[in-house]
Amino acid sequence: MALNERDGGAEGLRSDEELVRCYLEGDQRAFEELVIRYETTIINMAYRLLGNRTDASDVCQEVFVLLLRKLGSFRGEAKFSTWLYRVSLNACHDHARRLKRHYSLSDSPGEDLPEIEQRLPDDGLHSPEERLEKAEIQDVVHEAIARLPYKFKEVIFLHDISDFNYKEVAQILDISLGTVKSRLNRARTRLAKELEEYREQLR
Amino acid sequence: MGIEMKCGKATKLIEPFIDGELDSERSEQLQAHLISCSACESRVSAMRATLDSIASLPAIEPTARESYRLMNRVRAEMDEPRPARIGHARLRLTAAAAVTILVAASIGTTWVVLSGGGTVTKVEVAQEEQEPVSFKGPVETSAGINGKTASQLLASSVTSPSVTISGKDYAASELKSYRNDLGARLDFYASYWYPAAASGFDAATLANNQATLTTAIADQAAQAGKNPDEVKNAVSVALSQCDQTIPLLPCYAEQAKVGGKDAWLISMSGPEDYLLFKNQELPSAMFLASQGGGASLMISQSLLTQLASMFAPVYGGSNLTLSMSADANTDALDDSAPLSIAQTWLASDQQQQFQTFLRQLAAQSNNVDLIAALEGLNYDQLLMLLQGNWNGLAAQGIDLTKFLVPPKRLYAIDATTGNVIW
Repeated sequence: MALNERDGGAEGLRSDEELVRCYLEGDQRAFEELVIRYETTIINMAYRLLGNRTDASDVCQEVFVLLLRKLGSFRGEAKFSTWLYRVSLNACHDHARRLKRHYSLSDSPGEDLPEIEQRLPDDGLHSPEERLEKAEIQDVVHEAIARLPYKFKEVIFLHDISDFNYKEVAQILDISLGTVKSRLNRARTRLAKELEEYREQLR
Repeated sequence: MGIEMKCGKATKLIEPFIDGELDSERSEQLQAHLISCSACESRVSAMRATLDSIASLPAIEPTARESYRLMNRVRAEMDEPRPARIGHARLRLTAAAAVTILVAASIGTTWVVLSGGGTVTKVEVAQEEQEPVSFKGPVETSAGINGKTASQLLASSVTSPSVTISGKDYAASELKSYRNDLGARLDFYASYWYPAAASGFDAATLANNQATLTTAIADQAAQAGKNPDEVKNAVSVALSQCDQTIPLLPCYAEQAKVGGKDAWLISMSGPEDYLLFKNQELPSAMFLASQGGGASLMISQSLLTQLASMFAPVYGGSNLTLSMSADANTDALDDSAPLSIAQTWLASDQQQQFQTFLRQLAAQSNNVDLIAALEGLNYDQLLMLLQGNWNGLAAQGIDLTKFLVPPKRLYAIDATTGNVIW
């Protein structure tokens, strides 16, 4: 997905940049609209980067408070969404560093996933065994991502989960295209290895 | 086609190829290589499988509570200090006042009646934990209350409405949550509501009380060096805006600005204030609603309909039955204590729909009590709410103050033109 598809391309919706301007001119509702627009994005980002729901929920609040405080410094050189992702990823990183001092991030990252039956309801196409296997693989991937170094998680989240392209990822993280490619490669190789090990165990 | 590709180079192109980042020329070269090289072909499949499993990770949805907490935090951050929340501040204050009546009546304590007659009093916008009124006027001490009812005692005290010269510039959004608690004060009740109610709110008494209060407000404005006719006019304009079928008394005037224009804010005391004292055991908003006092639902009718429709199939009907046929819910609700909608079993997609609904509600209403209160209703009660059957709900012990907002009782009148600004 391209960046500009995310920020209110639909008819009648105010663009992110317009909302930012309105907020800075004193319209609080404009920022509330941004909150509604990006809440799901940010909570998923935090969930993916921190590995558990409780932290994700807390960080989501921190992120929006931070955005609110920093909004005055948004100069519009970059698209708002690029800026928002950058600020949010940094906030998640700070939070992750703080958490790490207290306990390992990979303590039990999968513990708050919904029950397998709820996640993969009967679709009539797959047998219960197939659905169970798929759910287990999801757990393995979730935990494997949680164990990745933070900078690898970022690229996996942006590229493989949020569908940004190389150039957009490079813009958001302010790194070169080459770095995006090499981080993606290393992150994916590690994930592939863990998945392979899991499959080996099953055999 | 160019020179045949080697595995080493092909391997480097596999990821950009899958990611759709490879130009067409190199894509074709790679594809040609893949046809003849099973090792690279299996590398592609393996990478695709890995990416598929990453992409298949389920996204999470914020819950209603998370959305509410978030929005509340953001709002708190945006407007520090926050304006007083309407219902809570008023009800808390009133509860304290009610306790005072009981204590005064039953124990026979000597107590102090504050009299602000003829003096300018300062009233501030009620904050949650703050007593909103402080009198600068002379303080009178009354005798004990032996042999007198609390209302007789109160009726004997003299007080007046309040005028404040704040000069503060309000934004329209602030006025929305602006409410002063004067009408819910014991002395105002005793001096104005009690006598008016005693006469059954007949038109003459009501008009007489309104005139008395208007004059008192004008006098106070004059003492503060303001043009009394200006505020007098503002009060009468505000009164003319009100629903004439509801007894209302002007209780407060503030000289301020709205959006930069000089204005008088005029606040009315309505039946909800009177009812707070008249009948302590029942929630005032319910009374108000049942008596046509103009309270409104906190949740929009369309959202409520949406909610009820969501649960209708679970209760055995595919359509929402507003008439509540007697046998509609017997299967699901044959228990003496029917399940609340939050306890009702829902399929996972319905559960998701319900959560989405609650999120919408949280975003709109900024009120977590409302969400909790809604979740606590059973289906029958949900329908009653939808029908505006307040008495039915009250009979089941539902606190309607959680669902109803008191009507607007504040008007902003342009000081020079006399036009209604808000």
